[in-house]
Formats: sequence, structure tokens, C-alpha cells
Amino acid sequence: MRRKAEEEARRTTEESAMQMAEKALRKEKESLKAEEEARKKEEERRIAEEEERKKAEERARKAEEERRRVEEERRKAEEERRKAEEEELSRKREQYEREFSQLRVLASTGTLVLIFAHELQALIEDMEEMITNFASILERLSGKEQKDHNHTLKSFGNRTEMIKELGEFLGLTIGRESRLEKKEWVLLPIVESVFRPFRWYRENYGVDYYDTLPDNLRTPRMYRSELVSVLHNLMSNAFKAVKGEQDRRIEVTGFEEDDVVHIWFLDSGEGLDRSLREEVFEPFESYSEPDLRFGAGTGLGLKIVRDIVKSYDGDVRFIDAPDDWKTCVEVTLPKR
Amino acid sequence: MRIKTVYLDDDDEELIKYERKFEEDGWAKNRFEIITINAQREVRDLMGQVERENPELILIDFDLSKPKNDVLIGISGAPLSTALRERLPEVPTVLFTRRDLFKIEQYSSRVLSSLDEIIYKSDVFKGDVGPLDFLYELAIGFEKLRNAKSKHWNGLLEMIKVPEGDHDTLKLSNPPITAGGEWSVSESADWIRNTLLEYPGILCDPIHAATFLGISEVPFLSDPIQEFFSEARYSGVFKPSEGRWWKSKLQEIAESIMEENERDLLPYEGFPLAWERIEKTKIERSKCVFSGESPAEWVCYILKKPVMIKYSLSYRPDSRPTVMDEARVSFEAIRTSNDVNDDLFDPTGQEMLVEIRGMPKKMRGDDIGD
Repeated sequence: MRRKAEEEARRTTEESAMQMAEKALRKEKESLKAEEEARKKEEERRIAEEEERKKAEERARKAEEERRRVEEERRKAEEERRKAEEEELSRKREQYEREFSQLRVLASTGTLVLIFAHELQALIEDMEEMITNFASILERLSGKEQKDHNHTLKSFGNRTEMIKELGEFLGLTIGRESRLEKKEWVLLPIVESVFRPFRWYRENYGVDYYDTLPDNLRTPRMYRSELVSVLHNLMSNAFKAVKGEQDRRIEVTGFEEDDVVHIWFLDSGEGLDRSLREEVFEPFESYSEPDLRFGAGTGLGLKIVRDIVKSYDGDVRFIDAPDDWKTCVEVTLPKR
Repeated sequence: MRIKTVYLDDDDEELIKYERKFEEDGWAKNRFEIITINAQREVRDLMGQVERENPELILIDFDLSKPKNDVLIGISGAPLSTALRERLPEVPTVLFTRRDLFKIEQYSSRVLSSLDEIIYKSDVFKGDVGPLDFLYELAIGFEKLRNAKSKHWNGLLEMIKVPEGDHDTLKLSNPPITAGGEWSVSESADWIRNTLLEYPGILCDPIHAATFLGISEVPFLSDPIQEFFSEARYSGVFKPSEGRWWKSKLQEIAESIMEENERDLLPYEGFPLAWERIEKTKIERSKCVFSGESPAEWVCYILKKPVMIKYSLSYRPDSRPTVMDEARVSFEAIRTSNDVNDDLFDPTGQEMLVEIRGMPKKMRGDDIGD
């Protein structure tokens, strides 16, 4: 009985142990399964990460390649720009060297001009004395002889006056006040002073000249020497343009609009081809015939005019001429 | 009377040339005795020689840089004139020089301080006796001052031939009288020429005189009017060829023909009425250079033309005595002249310049906020 009970107990214990072992085994299996799943997930995550890393690396590689390409393009563009700049600088250097060379020549003539002016003044005084003496000699001659010589005397007197006026006009340009004092100049009297030396040519060449500037039109603050230089160049061009033409008319007019002063030089000459409207402002580009009276045409006149007006934020250009005119050069000068 | 004139130059050819010209000129030969001196020697020797000549007028060339026999005075005509003024203060000294072809010569005030005038060689002997007459009047004026019986105030008044009524006014014009009541020749000459005759107020030039009377310059200078106002004409020393008139005498003479109602008016209104009434002819009124209206009662300092006071602004171009007429500039000059200096207007005037410059010509008064 006891053995039976012991047997029962042993059997119960063994069953219990079996159950426990089975349970443990089942748990073990479950654990292994969970581990396997976790490992799989880990593997999947790792693979995903690896793929992501590879993608990121690819993106970075591509970005780097793009950056390098852009950099290369930029470098090339920079190189091209630099080359273009160097070429432009080289071109400008050549241009400035030519201009400076011209200016050096002009500047070096300054002393000569003063000596020349001194001697010319002495000559003018002698000429004036001769005119006075000649006139008194003429009075003693017969009427016919007087008539014959009066023409010479008149011509001589006119030339003398003309040289004096040209000298005075030059003084307007080079005088101290003209170079050192910036002022809002009333245009009309300045244009009149610029025209004065031309009036001999107007009479001799039969040019009709009209000055229709408003009497109170003023420039912005600027040096008179520069204004005179602008006006003289344009006036001289206008006279050159009409000389020898059947229709010989020049008009200087102007107005103010929206705080910008407009000055127009109109002439009835041949006119300028549209295609040359910008080209003529290039230095040393001269399209005028050599002229012994109004200058040989250095090709710097319009360039100088443009440089001056640009320095005051203005401009000079050929615009379509109003009816009845062939050329219209417009100077614009902003007042503010 | 011939004026003993010493002419200093560094160029023998110039000395010979102008000596000949003075001698050959019909008008000049009876009025000037020319003594030429080449300036190229020691300053002391030169001064001594000039003094020994006892000149009544000195002409000096500005540029004395041409050596003679390798001798160079080493100074220009300007400092030489200063040295001469110290030694011969009662002798007028004139810079007699060549004009610059460019007309840009500008002598500093220091250079001009010892000079009584600048005369350009080319302006003399051109058929017009004006410059020679000027030199003659200058020398005669100095001579009269030198020989004045009295060097006191009354003696100076005699030289100027001042109307009695102006004696007190003249004292307000800064005459160069010392504390002891005396005057010197050079200072008095300078005051008469550069204050009394220069600024309108006590004396008037033709345009100021005409405008004071309310008429234009042409009828003022006509024979009948000149004859009528002959007693007002200045006849003292240094009288300018274009004439000067005592303002007080102009008024006195003008009032002599005015009726009571005309005397109630100002001279520029009353005189033309009185003249027209008596002469039975129209007389041209002084016309405002800006508006064209008459009568204009002031003269524009820049344009030297009549202007109505309401169309002008006060201007300060010089330090004239307050007893003289104020300088005023017309709106017309402000609009159209490059000779106007904006800095010489008072602050109120300066504020108006932009508006005036934008005005159309001959604008009527109704449009201006006066």
C-alpha cells in the first residue's frame, strides 16, 4: 500500500515534472520563436537602414557631383568673365592711353598757348593801331581810292575784332572762375557767348541761326568751363553740318521737364544715319569732313560732351529731329 | 595845363611807342608831359629818379621782368606802386598795362591797394578820349586836393562843391577825417572816388538820377532836361565824364516847377507830371525792367535798369555807408543773369529765389505775394 502510494506519488511527481518540463519546453519554444522574430525584425531594420544609408550616400554623392559640376561651371563662367574683363580693361587701357596721350599733348600746349596769346595780343594792338592810322591816311585819299581801300580796312577790322572775341571766348573756358565755381547757370547768356565767335561764320556762310531758349532756363550746378565745352562742341558740329548745304539753318532751344533740363541743337544739314547714332560717341570716330575753320575733327568732341554730361548723370544723344530739321542732338541734365 | 607824367616800363620799345602816342595825339599833347623811365635799375635809384622828376601822375607797367643791360629790378609794378605810394602819397599812381587776350586777369586787392586805377594800354588812343580824359581828371583832382587852401572839413567840402543842405549828410558817409578834423590827399581822393562818386545816394549817376525823377535815362540826358538841372550837376574834383548829380539839388529844382498837389507826391511821381504840364509834351517814364510798369523808383544793381521796389530784393554786394541808397536786385536779374550771387541776399531773400526764378517774364504784381 505504501509502495503503491509511493508509486502514485512518484507517478504524480513524474507527471508534474513532465508537465513542468513540457511547459518549460513550450516556453522555451515560444521564447525562441520570439527571439527569432526579433532577430528577423532586427535584420529587416538593419537591411532598411543599410538601404537608407546607401540611398543617403548616393544622394550625397550625386549632390557632391552636382556641386562640383556647378562649381566647375561657375569657375568656367568666372574664367570667361575674367577674360572678358581683362579684354575690356585692355581695350579701355588702350583707349585711355590714346586719350591721355592726346590730353598730354593738349596740356603741353598750354604754356605755348599763353605765350601765343601774349604775342597775339601785342599783334592785335599793332593791328588796331594800323587800322586807326590807315583810316586817317584814307581820309586824305580821293573818293574812289577811299572806296577801294575801305573794303580792305573793313575786312581787316572785322578779322581783328573776331580774333579778340575768340580770345575772350577762350577765356570763358579757361578762366579761374570758370573752372572752380559750380553754379546753376542761366543758359541763354552762355549760349549767346558761345555763339558770338560763330557770328562771323554765320554772316560769311549765310547761316540762319535761331536761339529760342527760355530766358530763365538754368542748368544744374556745374562748372561753366564744362558747359561751354559742351555747347561749343555741339555748336561747332552744327555749323559744320550746314556749311555748303543749300538749306543752312541752326536752332538752339531747350526746356525743363520733370526736373530735367533738355537742350536741343537742331540743324538742317545732311542728318546722321540711325545706325551711327551711338558710334559717333566713340573716341576718335569722326564722320565729319576735315574743316580748316571749325576744326579738323579729332573724333573726341562728342566723346568729351558725353563724358561731361554723364558726370552730371545726364546724357547726350541723337534723337529723331522735328519736322523741317535733319538733325537733333539732345543734351539732358537732371537738376537733382 | 600839362600834367607831368612819369611812365615806368621795362620795355624801351613800349616807352618810345607811348611817349610818341602821347605827343602825337591832338588831345593828349596839350594835357600830358610824358617822362619815360626804364624801370630796370636798383629800386632805390629808380625811386630817387621818380622823386626828382616831381611827377603829377605815375603810370606803371605791371610786368617788369625784361632785363636791361643784365639788370633786373626784381619786383613787379604792383609792389613798386606800394613803394611809390609811401614816398609820393599825394601823386596818383595808375597801372598802365597790356590787357590779357583772354580777359581773365584778376589782380588781388593787395595788388590794387596802392593803385588808384588800372588802364589798359590798348584802351587808350583808340579815337575815344575817354581813358585820357579820365587820367587827366584824376591828375587834376589830386592836384586840386594837394593845393587846397584848407586841409580841414570845410576845405574838403569846397573841393567837392557840396550843396549846403548836404553838409550833414556827407558826414554820415565815412569821410576820412582825423580826430583833429584834418584830411589827407590820398585818403580823401579814395573816399571821393570810391564812396561818394561810386555809390548812389548823395550823388547819382545818369540812370539813378533819371529814375529818382521818374523818367527814363534818354530824356534825362536830353538838352532841355540837362539845362534845367544844370545846377544839380557835380562839378567837384574827379568828376566822371558821364556825370553825377546831387540828389538833394535834383529834388529842389524839380520841386521848383511843381504845383502843390504835385509836391505832395514823391519826386518820381510829381516831376514828370509837372514837366508835362509845363512843356505840354509827354515824357517817357522810368519803366520797370521786370514788369514793364511805370514809374520804377529804384535801379537794379546788376542790370543797371529801373525796377519797382516790389519787384526787387535787397542785396549786400559791398560795405557802402548806410546813408547811401541800398543795393537792390530786380527779379529780372534774378531770373536771367549769371552775375547774381545768391549769398549776397539776406535769408528771407534767399528763400524767395527759387520761386522768382520760376516766374515767367513780365509777370504782373497781382500774381506775386508782395
